[in-house]
Amino acid sequence: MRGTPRLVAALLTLLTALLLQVTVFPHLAWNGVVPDLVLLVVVGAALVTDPRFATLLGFGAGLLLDLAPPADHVAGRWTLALLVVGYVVGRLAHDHQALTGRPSYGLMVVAGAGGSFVGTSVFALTGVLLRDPVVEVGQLLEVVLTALAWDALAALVVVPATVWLFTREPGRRTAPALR
Amino acid sequence: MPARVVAVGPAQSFSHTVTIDAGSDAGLRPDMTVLNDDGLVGRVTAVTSHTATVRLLVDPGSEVGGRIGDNMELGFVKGRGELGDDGRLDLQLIDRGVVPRQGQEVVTWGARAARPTSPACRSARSPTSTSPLRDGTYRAGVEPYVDFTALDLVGVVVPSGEGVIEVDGSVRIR
Repeated sequence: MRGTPRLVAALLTLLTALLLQVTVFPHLAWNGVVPDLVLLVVVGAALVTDPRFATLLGFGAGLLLDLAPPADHVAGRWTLALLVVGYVVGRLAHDHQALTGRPSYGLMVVAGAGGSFVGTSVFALTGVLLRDPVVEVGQLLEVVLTALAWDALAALVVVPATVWLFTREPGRRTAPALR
Repeated sequence: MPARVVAVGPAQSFSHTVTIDAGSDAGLRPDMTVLNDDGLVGRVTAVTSHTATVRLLVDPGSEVGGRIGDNMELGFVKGRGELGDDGRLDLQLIDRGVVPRQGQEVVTWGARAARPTSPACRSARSPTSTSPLRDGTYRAGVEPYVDFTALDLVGVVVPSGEGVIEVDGSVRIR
């Protein structure tokens, strides 16, 4: 998928992921830590698109997380975190994958877990640098590791779904009929 | 002003905030007090026309004035931002000689500075652990009455529109 359909699909997916993340999943949360669906969408898209699109998508997704209520931290922290996730995953996927079709299922889950660790850590570290808010390091680690476990679990579903969305070719089935 | 919690911020953001389904159209403004039937929930930090963001009492950036109910000792109740179910608030008393005992109730000051005047409300109970800080002051871990993981219906203290109760008790009609 390329061009405008890809952009529209990306926006809709991010919006759905954000809404599910703040409304439905808090009911399943373990001590308030929920699966970071928005981050997993960025990882899934980064696996099958180019690094440039993945970085921009990470930027947009992070901005959404920073500005949509109930966010209350210094805006820009999730933007930086997801931008890094999009770039790193996109770069690695681009460099180590013979651009043939979809990545394996195992790779998707590993990428989801890795992306989660990088994203949550970057966010936590910017929090330490900006002292916003003042949280102990042990607690940071607890949150990062819990989020890692949750995200690895959610990556089983979310990353393959995103990969499927971004690799399908719109209109392929109808194209022969038009000719 | 009743409202429902419609969105909860993830703990990955290291802050404890929720969104409620009432905003500036319903008369909400930043710094208003949010309660539920268990006690103090938090404070409004930002409003849109139909939603408002509430910083919960357990947020690490939250600090409210509190006092011990039975001996009126003043102090501050601060969120620890901790994930677990125990010791989620810190109580620090101004009087260094007073050590909070287990089982005492903590209420918040009636917020006179906030708009509008909010009633004093109970916020926490039972100091569970007391640890000495520097300068001989004590910090006690206290339990909030409100179950912050199961928030649903909350109330926001808004002006009734009929008048403002002044400090001396008289009512000024606007």
